[in-house]
Amino acid sequence: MIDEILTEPFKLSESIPLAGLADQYLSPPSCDTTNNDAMIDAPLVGVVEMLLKDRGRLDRLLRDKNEQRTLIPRLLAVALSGFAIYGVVATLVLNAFWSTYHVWWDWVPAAHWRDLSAGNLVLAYTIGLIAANGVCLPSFYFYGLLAGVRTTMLSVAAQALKGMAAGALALVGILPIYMALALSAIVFPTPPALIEAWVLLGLALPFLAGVWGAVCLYEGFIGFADTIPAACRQSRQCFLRRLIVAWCGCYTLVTPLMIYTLWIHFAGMTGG
Amino acid sequence: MRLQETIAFYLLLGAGVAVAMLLNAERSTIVERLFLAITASLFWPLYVPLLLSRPAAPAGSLAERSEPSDDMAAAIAQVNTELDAALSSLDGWVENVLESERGRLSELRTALVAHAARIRAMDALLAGSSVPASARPVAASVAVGETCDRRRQSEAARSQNVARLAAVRAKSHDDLMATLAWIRELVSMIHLAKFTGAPASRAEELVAQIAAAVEGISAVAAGESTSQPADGPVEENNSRHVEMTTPDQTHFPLHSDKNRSVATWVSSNAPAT
Repeated sequence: MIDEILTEPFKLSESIPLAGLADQYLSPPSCDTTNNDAMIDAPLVGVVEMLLKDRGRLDRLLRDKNEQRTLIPRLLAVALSGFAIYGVVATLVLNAFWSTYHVWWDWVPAAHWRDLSAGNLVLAYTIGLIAANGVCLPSFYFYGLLAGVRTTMLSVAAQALKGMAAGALALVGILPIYMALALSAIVFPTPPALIEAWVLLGLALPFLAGVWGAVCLYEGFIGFADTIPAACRQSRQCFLRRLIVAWCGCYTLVTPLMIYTLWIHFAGMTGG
Repeated sequence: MRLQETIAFYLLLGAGVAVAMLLNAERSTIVERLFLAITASLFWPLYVPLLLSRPAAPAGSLAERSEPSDDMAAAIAQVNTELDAALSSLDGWVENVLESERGRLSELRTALVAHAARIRAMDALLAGSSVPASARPVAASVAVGETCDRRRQSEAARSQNVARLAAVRAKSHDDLMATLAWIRELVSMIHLAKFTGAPASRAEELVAQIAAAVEGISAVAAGESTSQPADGPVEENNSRHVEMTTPDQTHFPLHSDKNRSVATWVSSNAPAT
């Protein structure tokens, strides 16, 4: 049976007294959305701003195939920049501890600023964090397929890079706090156990900041639930959430191995 | 195979991907190309999906690239713009509700586009039909015989079905436009609530109502999809009268059955006066 047909059109201006008031507050609407969401020529800073202030818009852009091609290199650039900054700061802190207390721990591979091993930590963390993402990417894609999400490998890569870039920004954000703590340990006499704890904290900072990246990744990827057929969306969405968490756990296990392996290898190459 | 050999093969593959990315790179500066070459060599697993995906459509305006430019697309774009403006103007006022409703608001945008796509599909069917949308019953054939009678009945039934499809299309269009008007109304109420000093709870209700509109669209679509062909003419609707209050407790009637579930939600959640 065909449903009823509207007999009277909905007269907004007659029935809703707010219609007139609304016109006072709202400027004439513009149908031109080219400057709202189109990001083809947006600079790198625009991506950083969206990561910080408007992740919803970034998620919408990342679902557009044309924008993905533009945004993926930019998200990668943000992530690389953040991790490189962290690597430089961590190297400085380690060497500052070494200069002050003449201590270099056996479990920390070489990263001395006076020889060729100065770039070991930067390279190990920068390459390791992103390479681990690449290693885990196919599993992320298959987890999405398992949950019934209709997506492409490109979309999955874009979301993973978005999470990584968000984590890198969070890492840069908490670096000053860590530097203040580390400098206090350098300026004031500190027990060796506490110094080692600061070093351990510094090397684990990317994983602490990565929690924020995982949250951003979760927010973006859970939006793909609307591609799941409506009949089973409710049940599959719960499964999708758990798979995203599982993937984050997998990435967290792979990354330290990747970083440590690369660091050891670079230390061997540079004679550390 | 040791780590050195693995790295050598990895970089070799990376070099190939980097060359492919450089060949595909359009409108890139030298710095961007250099960045692309270095990162594609080192992180080629992230670039391989880019290479293997379909090439992007030529860049153009968003309206040209994404959706057909008709009145529905323009109306939806307008509502999206206004909704974005309203939600961004809240500026942390009701951040928790915006976070919790983020998924439904995103779903609402998708549902509006899907609803418009359904209407366009019906338009295409009606345009392709040889019988006009306002089809009149087929004139009686001068030929006699059982076959002619059956053919006449089938053609009459087909005309009726096309007429019903046109009616469904008209209703869908009205539903969509009414939903868009409803969202615009709520958006205007958000602006009013913000500037008249209404409590944050009012803005929260309005944001939740906007997000709940997605259920109304889904209910309308479900109602259309489960429609059974009627044997007789379409029956007129008895309009339901639902009252709704604005943030300043102004009462006004909502003469519409366009979106039952939204109206039902509003009437069940309207604040006590």
